[in-house]
Amino acid sequence: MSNQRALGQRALGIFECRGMVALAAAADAMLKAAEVRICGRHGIGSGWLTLLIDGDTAAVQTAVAAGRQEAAPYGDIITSKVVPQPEPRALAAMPHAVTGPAAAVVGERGLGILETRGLIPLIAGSDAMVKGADVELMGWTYIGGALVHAFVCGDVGSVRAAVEAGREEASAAADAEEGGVTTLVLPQPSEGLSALFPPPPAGEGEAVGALGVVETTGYAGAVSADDGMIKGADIDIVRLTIGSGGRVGALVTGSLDAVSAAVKAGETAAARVGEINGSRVVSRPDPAVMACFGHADSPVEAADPTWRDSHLAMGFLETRSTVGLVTAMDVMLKSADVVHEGRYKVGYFLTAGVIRGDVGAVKIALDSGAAEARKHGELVAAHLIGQPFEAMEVTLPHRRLD
Amino acid sequence: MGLIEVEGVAGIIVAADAACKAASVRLLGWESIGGFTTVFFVGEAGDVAISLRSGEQAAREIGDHVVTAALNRPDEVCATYIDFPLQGASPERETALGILETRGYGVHVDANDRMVKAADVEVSRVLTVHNRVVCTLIEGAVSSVGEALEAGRQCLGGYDHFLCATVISQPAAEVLHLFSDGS
Repeated sequence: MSNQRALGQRALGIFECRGMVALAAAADAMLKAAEVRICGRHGIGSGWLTLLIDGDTAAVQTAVAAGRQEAAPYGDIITSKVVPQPEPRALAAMPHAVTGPAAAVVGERGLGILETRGLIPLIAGSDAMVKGADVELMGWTYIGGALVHAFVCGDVGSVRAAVEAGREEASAAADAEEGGVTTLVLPQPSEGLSALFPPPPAGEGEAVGALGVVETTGYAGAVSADDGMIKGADIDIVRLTIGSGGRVGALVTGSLDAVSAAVKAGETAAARVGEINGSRVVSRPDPAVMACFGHADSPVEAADPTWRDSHLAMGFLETRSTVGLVTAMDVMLKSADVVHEGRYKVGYFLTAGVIRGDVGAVKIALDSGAAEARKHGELVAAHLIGQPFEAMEVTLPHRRLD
Repeated sequence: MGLIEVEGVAGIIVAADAACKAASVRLLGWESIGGFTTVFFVGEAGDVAISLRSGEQAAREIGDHVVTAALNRPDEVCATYIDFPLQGASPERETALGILETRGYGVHVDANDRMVKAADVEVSRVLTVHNRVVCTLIEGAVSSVGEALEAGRQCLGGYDHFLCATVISQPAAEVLHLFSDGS
């Protein structure tokens, strides 16, 4: 009788590691090792991901041990524990509950994951994956610490071929110092793995001549890359994409020649403002890659209609301190005839504020703002764009927040 | 306007409590930029200066990174930088507030389970502010909160990423409402 009761006792399994490849390897092993289900997941930045499973105590113990073993080659394991008879009151306020089934379903197909440091190797690798074999690109996302990943699925042979092609291309595109390309192929993924999937691509992808990407750390550098690209060649700005670890990717499309020229101009412009993490031109990107990474956001009109066509200059002040930014913004607004247009946070301690006004006024304001910001913390950028093109302005995400 | 910035989130909770108790200031809210958090409050210049000093002192007991500033007659734009404003009334209630902060989420699941099993406390909020910082807030009688935190600490024994465990025995109503209720 007591034996039966012991069998019926529930437990909660905790598994936390760095990186999606390690987490997916552990999750698949846990779900296959014993009768458990995924009841929670949560990411806390820097690539640290936690998975929670439940089942009876013996099953959870078996599963967590299996997960630990399987994940070890792929990344650091932070925590793996079994909590017997968890108290629901302890968990009610925790943000990890998995709500509802994920939209995407793998079905009876293989699953591949490509994980990189930075967007450039991920985009280059994803293009190689879908061009290298008949696989479906399921989506991508960022988890902090510069780590990003994309999922593909298809028949097992195709997934293997695609992931191999993706790994090769991503490794070639990755910064030599950064490296860090990790891949995983699961020939028969557990059904429950869909809880880990990134959001599916939004809409259909366009066929374009080339896709250009400049990746920077910080918002001001990325906007500056956009400004350099749109003024340097006949291209279309697609969007600024938040990467991971404070990184932002500026994405443009056009003919191969135009995109190549634009990326060079964008790098030059961004280098004056901040840190460039890399750039890449992808010739004839697969439409699936465009759907996944390159969907355009709806344009944002100016908050104040009188700003349109007025050629007001834009000033960007970016810091690694809210105290620095808020005190600088106060000084800027009081020091010259400028207005506040918006603000944007790209994560990893970075926060930016944007002002508009005549070139002279924005310059005066930025100088005083920069001096103030330096008193309180790290000033990342104080950057002026004299005559921003409207085609760029309408894509800038700081105008979305208000 | 007074601003206090720290690494993690426990530091601004104790700073906000000390600031509210030190002088007549009004708590506005807090902001996170993925690693650093900042608490905002307003009042007469003299009161803000006193509150900043007390708040800074309290925050320094939690961590080394503390940045403060006072703004004289701030532009109204400054308050728009607060992502988590204090909203609605802050009802008084008698409870102590326990704060347990670490890097890593998994250990909090285990520690929170042990805390509610060890003493009569409720886990009221679990804040994750990126850069791996996770902060659990518990409420209960001051002795229960102390016991629970001790159990939480023991559970983290040997864990490399422990940051802090502290008790505010009579937290200001606004501090409870802003951080523990998540107004």
